[in-house]
Amino acid sequence: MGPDRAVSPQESRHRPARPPRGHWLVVGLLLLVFTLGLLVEGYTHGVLGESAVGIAQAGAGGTAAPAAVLHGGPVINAAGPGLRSYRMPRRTVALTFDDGPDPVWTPRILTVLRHYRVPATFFVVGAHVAGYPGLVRQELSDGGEVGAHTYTHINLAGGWQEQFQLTLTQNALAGAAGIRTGLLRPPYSSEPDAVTAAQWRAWQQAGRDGYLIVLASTDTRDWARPGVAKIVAAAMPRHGRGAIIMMHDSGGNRSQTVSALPQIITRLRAKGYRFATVTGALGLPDADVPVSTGGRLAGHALVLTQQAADHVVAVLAIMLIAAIVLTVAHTLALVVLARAHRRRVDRSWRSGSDWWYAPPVSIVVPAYNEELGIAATVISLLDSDYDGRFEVIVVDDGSTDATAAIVRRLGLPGVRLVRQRNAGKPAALNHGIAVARHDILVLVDGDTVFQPDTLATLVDRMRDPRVGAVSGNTKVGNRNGILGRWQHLEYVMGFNLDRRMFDMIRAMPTVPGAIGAFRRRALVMAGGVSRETLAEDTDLTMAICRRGWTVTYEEYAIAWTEAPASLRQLWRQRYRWCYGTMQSMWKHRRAVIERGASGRFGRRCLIYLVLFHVLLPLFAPIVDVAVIYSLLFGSPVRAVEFWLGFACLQALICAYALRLDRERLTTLWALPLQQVVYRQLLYLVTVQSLITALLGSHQRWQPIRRAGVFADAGPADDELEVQYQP
Amino acid sequence: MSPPAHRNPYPRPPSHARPAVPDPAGTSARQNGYPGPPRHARPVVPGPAGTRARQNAYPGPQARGRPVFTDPSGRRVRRMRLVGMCAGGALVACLIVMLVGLLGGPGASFIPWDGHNGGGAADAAGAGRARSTGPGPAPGTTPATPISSGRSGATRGGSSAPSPSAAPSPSPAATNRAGKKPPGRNRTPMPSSPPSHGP
Repeated sequence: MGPDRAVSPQESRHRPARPPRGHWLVVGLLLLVFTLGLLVEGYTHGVLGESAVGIAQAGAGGTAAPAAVLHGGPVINAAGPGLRSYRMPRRTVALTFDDGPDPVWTPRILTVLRHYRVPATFFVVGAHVAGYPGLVRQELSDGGEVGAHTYTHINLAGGWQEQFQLTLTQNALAGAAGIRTGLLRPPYSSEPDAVTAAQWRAWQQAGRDGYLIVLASTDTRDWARPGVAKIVAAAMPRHGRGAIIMMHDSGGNRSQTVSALPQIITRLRAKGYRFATVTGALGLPDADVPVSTGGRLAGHALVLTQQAADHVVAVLAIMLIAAIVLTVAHTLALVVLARAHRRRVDRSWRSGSDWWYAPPVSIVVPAYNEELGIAATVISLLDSDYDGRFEVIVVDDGSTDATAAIVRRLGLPGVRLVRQRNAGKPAALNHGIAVARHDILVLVDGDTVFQPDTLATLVDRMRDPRVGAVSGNTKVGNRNGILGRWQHLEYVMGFNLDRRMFDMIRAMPTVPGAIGAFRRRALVMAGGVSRETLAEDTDLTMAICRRGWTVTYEEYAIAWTEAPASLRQLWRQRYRWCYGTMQSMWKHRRAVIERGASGRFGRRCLIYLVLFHVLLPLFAPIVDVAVIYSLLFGSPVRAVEFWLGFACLQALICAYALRLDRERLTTLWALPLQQVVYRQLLYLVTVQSLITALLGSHQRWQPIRRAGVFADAGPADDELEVQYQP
Repeated sequence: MSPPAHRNPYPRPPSHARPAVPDPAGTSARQNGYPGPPRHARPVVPGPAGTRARQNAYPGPQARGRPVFTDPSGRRVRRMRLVGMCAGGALVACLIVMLVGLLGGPGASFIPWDGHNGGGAADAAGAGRARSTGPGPAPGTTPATPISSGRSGATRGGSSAPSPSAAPSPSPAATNRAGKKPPGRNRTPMPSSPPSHGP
């Protein structure tokens, strides 16, 4: 988005110095890190949140585990051919808590355990360990034992990710507490007789990997929140048997568990039970052993990664909300203001005067190597139904092709050709304005074609003496091909809606170089066309606005321009617009704090441009990322709905804009596709422009070889010539 | 009042708006009733324009400074390049950390559960555990385990060493249990909505 200028070969006049490129490597790396973080986060929480798959897998397979397992004790050593299972000694209980640690419930449970001086065993989910490493350290320092419960609570029943999951969990424990564990409680398991064949195979593998499988002999089913009394009752082993009692310290509201725990402990104690960790009760070696420094470092890396990934998603969410709010607010403001503008235009038609304001006009056409289009431009200008006198001044900016010859050969009355050595478009404009004889000047690009009524409608706006400049309505002439259609839509939807809005708030940032009318006094006050920026039209318009002139928009003054036909050309055009607009904004930045007309302009227009033409394009890709993320890890339906809603809103706005401009609605079909390539291209342009601005390395792009058209060109120009040699 | 007839004739098809061939005779130009060429409206040979510029009180470009944002000294480029390289290095470090965290880590099989039969608790050794069982229900119930009942938290203060009194009794595995549950019925719940991440 940005000012509205047709691309002209003029800008390729000087071989541009290579634009900065190194930053793309940094941007690419940033993207890679961001993507990896999102993948980690998506994997962790996508899998954690997705229960249907796990349950379906858990049910499959039938019971094919050895009877020794099905009817054996809850602690299983599945390694090797000789299967062993262990049963708790009589009147011994191991309290176990699954799915933690949880920042809310784990500390409460630890408080209860500490109060009763009871050790417990925690089967932790690796992702939570990485998220709350301090809690694991607390569990261990309280005399508890820690076992693995996979990284994201998957069902261990065959699958590519089991090894990965267990390694990650060990890694998380190493990072959090400097230990690794030999205990594993597979998720979706409870008591030994509920084992499926698939699970059993996976457990055997885990056993070969060195894990002792710890199931439960008493499942309190506290996760279903059956009530404190039921949890307590379920926890009681019968007949003085030993038991491994399964509870949960995470995965939802665990207040019932926390309340039941003291009762369980006191009642078991009254029955003569003692409490131990799993390995403690069985007289096995400690399951948690310290890891090497290397393992610790890798663990720290994982903890860092997981925590950063959590933050990445939080940042993503905030930026997404910001982007959506900005977009919607922008769109609504555009529509409301465009509607108001439309009404005002209708009113002014009804109350308009019978006569046309038609002062003598000078039309200045700067042309550099425009041999293809210049004849059409000049002829269309002379074809105008204008009531007053007008002259056409073609300024040949040192073209190397037949531009001048073509204009001369046309031999048209009312057309003057002035030539200068190649000095750039601003110089050509200044030259043309200087030799023009009338006080109303219309500046036209050399590849733009007017309609017969364009000149009359444009200049008629000058009737109001406060108006310093009038912008016309540029339209894309070459609409064949998808790129042309996209640009057509963008011109109608973006630029023209924007321009109506700017007209309403009396802060127009750009009168496009393709078509604009200026009062000579306004030009003189603005100091002429500057070459300090690459968007000389934006710069000029801002300067005029700041001096208190009204700059207005005439939608009926139509100019057909030729839009870039290739992505590469489009990139270059937009790069120039975007960078030039940034330059102009920076140049006129003081307007924001100034008083009077300048301050009014600065606070309205510049802030708008910063918000919607710089910041929004930088944030908007977040929307795409979020859609892809939720397609992969969240609910695809929601993502598609979101995207469709967005597309519909945009289609509606676009239809409205097309109607305002009396264009056919059939082009709308190109709109959905526009979201895929075109929009991203514009985002990248913004990044590129911003980096270029930051680097400040751009002077070589605009090698101005001073021509000496203005004989009194100062020494500064000679310096420039030296510096800007390509 | 309705708009004048010529005021709004569009859309004129773009293909027509632009004559493909220049009209050398200029006929179309003359139709527009332009009052005629002024003397110096003819194609003009390039000449010094400075004088005319001053007549118009038009400032021209001489008052201009250098292009916005540019830094001819190149100091900013160097500084930004440094910043960019630092950022790149930091990002590469990030990537390495992430990959190490995700792919590195301790290997498997580190606690010899079998070889440790008995471990430190000599009296408990071998006894109650670790019996490779054949299929079928094993005989019966276990004898009572010595219990260090009254003391709270027998093995408190570290799961490292089982307390001597906590000798597990020989408890042959596998008693057939009544009320066998169908597979997959008992499940631990999912930790719904992990609290660590944003929306």
